[in-house]
Amino acid sequence: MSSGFNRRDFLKFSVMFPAGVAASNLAKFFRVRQSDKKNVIIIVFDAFTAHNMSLYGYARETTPNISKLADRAIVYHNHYAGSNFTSPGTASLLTGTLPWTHRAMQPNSRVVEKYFDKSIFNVFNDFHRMAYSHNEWANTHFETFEKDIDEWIPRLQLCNQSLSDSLIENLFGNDRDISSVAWVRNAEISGGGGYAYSLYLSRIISYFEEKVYAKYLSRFPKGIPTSGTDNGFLLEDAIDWIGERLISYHLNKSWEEQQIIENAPEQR
Amino acid sequence: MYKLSNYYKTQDVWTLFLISALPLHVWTLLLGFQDISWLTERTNFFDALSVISYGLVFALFESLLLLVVVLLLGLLISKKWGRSLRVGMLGMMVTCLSLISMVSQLYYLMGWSFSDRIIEFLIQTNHPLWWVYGVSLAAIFVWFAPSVYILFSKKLLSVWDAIADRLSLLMVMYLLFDIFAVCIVIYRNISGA
Repeated sequence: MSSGFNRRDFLKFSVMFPAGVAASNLAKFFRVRQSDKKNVIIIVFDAFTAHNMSLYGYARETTPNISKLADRAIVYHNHYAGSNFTSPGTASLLTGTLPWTHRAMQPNSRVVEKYFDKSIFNVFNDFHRMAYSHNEWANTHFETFEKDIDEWIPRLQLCNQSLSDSLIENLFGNDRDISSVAWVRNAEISGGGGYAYSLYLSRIISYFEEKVYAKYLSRFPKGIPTSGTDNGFLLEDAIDWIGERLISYHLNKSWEEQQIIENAPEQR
Repeated sequence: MYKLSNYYKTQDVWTLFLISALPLHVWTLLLGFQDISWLTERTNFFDALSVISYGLVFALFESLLLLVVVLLLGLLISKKWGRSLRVGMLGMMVTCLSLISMVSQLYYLMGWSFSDRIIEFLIQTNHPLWWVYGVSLAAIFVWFAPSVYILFSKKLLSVWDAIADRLSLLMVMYLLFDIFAVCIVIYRNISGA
């Protein structure tokens, strides 16, 4: 039995060598990244009741992925939201105070001035801080804390909005929330589907909406649960986008660092 | 070469605008007012009023677009028939179209659906699409028939003119609502409410 390094082994090795070198560089890169601070991702679900989550005992399996995550996570069983709707609830989460302290109790309202620089973003000020929400009212809070956010991703970037919706939001940039509600409000009367207030233009909205959602038909043959609203949004798409953005951020950062090292004057 | 002034006087354009705008405004106000309590519960009264204001501004814009289409359609009507007949025909046509559009929207808004018997009947005929085409043709007939009939009935024309006069007056009132709505929209966009 020959145990020598034959021609075939050499060819195999030569094919594997460049991949091995690349993998070793990549591993080095990720090791360096791993030794850095960990990424912190905060995902907030608005109007999401524990009563309908299998994780909290709902009979039907509704949240298999969250249950998987829960297997290796700390799960709170007696947590109460700061408040009962977006503006005060999100403000409580971002400032760590109760609504009567931060005072963002009206719809689409802001926290009081003394909390402008006391948000969760301020706590992580040596991190690269990204924020995204498809909810206009949460974006109002991001706007308040903007100076502590490095990258505030525009709402429309990850929304499944049609051209007509974005047109209205851009046209009434100072009053995006109310104008878009008037434009796409589904004014059903008795449990039906329905259109917005306009008699003919609403047909155009529906046409554009259907075009937007047509691309999801193969993945969601029964339709997307959020379709027909002004907040069409797919969590998995957004998570993928954020994942890619984080990787590209790290790669860019590493490239920038490399450039700084290469351009630095030689020290003798 | 078509010249709009050969076909319409300013008064005609104004009458057609009012007739086109009325159903759109009535529809927006109806939906807005039946929606206002829902909106107020979830926001506040001013925001709810603002949503309706935006609806009225969109309705005004929609009315202007519809007017352009109606005026262009009017160019297809022979000059021989005269201005009053042209305006009467176009007014009747746009009103019928808006009524059909309201009924078709109500179908969705009220959550109506065909009964099982009708569905079974359609299946049994083996040609359900023929029925769909038939209903569409009937809708087109309802849309066109009154405006064509105006050509042959002076009585219908005078009745329609009288109705149009009164409806136009009502629409002038709704234009006041539009002015309020435009003011609210401008205020909100300037103040960044």
